[in-house]
Amino acid sequence: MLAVGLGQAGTKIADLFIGWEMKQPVKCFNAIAVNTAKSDLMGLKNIPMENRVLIGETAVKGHGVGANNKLGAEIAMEEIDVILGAIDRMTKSDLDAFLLIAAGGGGTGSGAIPVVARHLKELYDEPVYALFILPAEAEGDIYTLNAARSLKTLIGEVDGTFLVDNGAFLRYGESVKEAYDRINAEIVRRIGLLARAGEATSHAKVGEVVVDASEVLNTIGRGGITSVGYAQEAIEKRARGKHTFLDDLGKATRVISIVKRAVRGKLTLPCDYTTAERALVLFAGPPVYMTRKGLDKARQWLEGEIAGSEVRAGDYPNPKADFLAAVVALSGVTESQRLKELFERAARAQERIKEVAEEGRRRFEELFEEAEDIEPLF
Amino acid sequence: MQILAIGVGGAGIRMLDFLLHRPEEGVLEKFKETFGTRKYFDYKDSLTPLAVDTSRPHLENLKSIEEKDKILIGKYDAKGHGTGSDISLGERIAEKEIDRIETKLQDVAGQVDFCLIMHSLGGGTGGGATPVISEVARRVLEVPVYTVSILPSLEESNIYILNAVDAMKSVLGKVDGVILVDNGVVTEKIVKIPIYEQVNLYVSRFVRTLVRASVESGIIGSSSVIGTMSPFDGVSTIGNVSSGINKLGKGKKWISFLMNKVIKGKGGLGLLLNCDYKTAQRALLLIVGPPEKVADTFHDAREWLQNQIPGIAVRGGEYHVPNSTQVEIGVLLSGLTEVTAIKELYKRAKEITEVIREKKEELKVRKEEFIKLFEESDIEPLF
Repeated sequence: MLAVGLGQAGTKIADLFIGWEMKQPVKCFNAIAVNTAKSDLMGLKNIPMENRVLIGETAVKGHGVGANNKLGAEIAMEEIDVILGAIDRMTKSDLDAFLLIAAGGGGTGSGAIPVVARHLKELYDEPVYALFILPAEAEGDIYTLNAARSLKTLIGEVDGTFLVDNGAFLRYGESVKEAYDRINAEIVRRIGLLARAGEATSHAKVGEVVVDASEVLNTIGRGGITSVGYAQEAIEKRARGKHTFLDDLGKATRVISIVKRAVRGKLTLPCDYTTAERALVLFAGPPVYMTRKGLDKARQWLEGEIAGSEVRAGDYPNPKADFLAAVVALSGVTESQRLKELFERAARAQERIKEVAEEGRRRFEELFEEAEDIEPLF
Repeated sequence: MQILAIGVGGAGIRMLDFLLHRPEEGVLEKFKETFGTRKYFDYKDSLTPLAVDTSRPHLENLKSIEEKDKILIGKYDAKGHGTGSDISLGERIAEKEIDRIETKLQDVAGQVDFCLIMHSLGGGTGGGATPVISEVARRVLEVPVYTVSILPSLEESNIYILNAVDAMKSVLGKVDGVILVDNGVVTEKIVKIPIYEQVNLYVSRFVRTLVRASVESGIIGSSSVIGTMSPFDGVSTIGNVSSGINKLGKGKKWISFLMNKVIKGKGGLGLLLNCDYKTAQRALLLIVGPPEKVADTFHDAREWLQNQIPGIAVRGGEYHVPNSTQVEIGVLLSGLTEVTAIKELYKRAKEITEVIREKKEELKVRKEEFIKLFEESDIEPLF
């Protein structure tokens, strides 16, 4: 996959993907970073310099667009050739998909993501996905409105959108900034696991039910939004490495319970998972703990729960792991209270901003009406 | 006996890999070859392998197949990542790559007696590409083409089950015979080996016994197989049981004991397919083991079978292996017209289709509602 990080959050996350990637035996990510703020671009750690693109120098002189995503979109449109040029240098014949990453609340990422998406869809055959971050409610009206406008424009331009809600991961009393590191780590882990499904390595055994990359793409790539769940469980130290004392039924039950926790727990976008049209379950851990039966039963359970009928499931064996984990992608979700609230709030914010602007214009006119009796200097 | 063994799709190529494993590797205690692990037999003299798949990692993970015998198809459409269980993609890819496949097959044409195509019915490549490849094989090779088709168990995903129904219809019209094996008859409760591995082990043990019996003793040959598989008036399946000679007891009672096991499934796994064995019209029966145990037993075994299934035509014989500590009975049943497994598969597929139909209406409504959230909101788009 080619990850295209846009804006402050987007480039940071793309950078983290590459950092995580470097520790993996098989590579499946490349990344470029696009931003209007020079200092943020320079602050990245893992993306090579030649893959960092500064846009909007003339307009904002490397200082960022300051949460004005309309300006962000304009700059992206003016400099689209520069962005596409950088992307083109990175695309090889074995590219499966593009992953555009941006926070909806900001200016650069939020404005650029639908622009870049549209152009990529026109130029390339490969699917284009978005990883779109929603601002937490606490972050303020402007961010909410930015996100809503960007998402509304974006949704029709891509083959699938991963939605991540900053607010979902906030802990009580914590500021959003404090949560960023944790949220980003969560994103990289969940999406990273999905991205590397099916990669054969010399270290990992081939899974019994290997989930190919195509299975992942078939789940998330048929439009709509995707929310990703995750759950893990440590393996008892004394049992590790040896044949576990759990019998088959025990192992199967364990698999099912971890998958259920992943689905019912914290999803990247809070939503009604039962409205999903498609789902993918990827179960990772030492092969001795992962039974066919457990995975089958977990898959059957999910098949019964969701509105659609397509549930894919596979294992990702890792003999050296000291935990069992399940990552679940729920795609084509049609019910999310959080998303509804976001749009409602954004609509109110838009109204208010219009009113304030109207009010301001009126007062400004009135200000000079009063001055009409005063003679100008010349 | 010269067999062209083609594996198509993830399951198929793994089965092929098992077929070609050296006896010393990958053979588990319970499946110790009747021939003893010390006597090495090169199956490659009789089996010409070809592994065809859309997934590069799957092909790379094969242990016993050389690079020259592997073909990755659909590099443009699937980028080496498989079809994602998409059976129509599997079909399209195979059709696009017909020339490459044909060229590869032409290299072996004329040297083989018959062709065995191993594949799963439920997979995207296994289900979708196999009918296309079968057709090409039949055309190019001019020898009988049989499939070893793997039925998904009823617990497998909806996608596999629906694929399997589709694939079976396509395959039936394009080959000279179908050997059905069912993932569903195997269980991990008795033998603690993963289900897929078990199916692979049973099938490969059967084929290897066939090959070895033909090469080392000549009691059967390709014509025995072809004669059993023809005409294509029903479905075929296989069964394979073995026992240590010290468990057989004195006399010949063990013959009916093992025949009961392999044909009726009494006392263990029998046929690899849920079917009415009484509808079988032809059989190939092999009894393998040390001469002191196995001599003059074929007659009894055949009589047993003919008593159970009046009118059945039985080919085969005994294959004596001096110093062997195991007795093995392998059977190929053909012309089956009553197959419960197929009926159950269709039933399950119907259930799934019903559920999908119900859910589809609701899904459509919900999708429309959801899109309204974006389109009808007063939020101004960015452009």
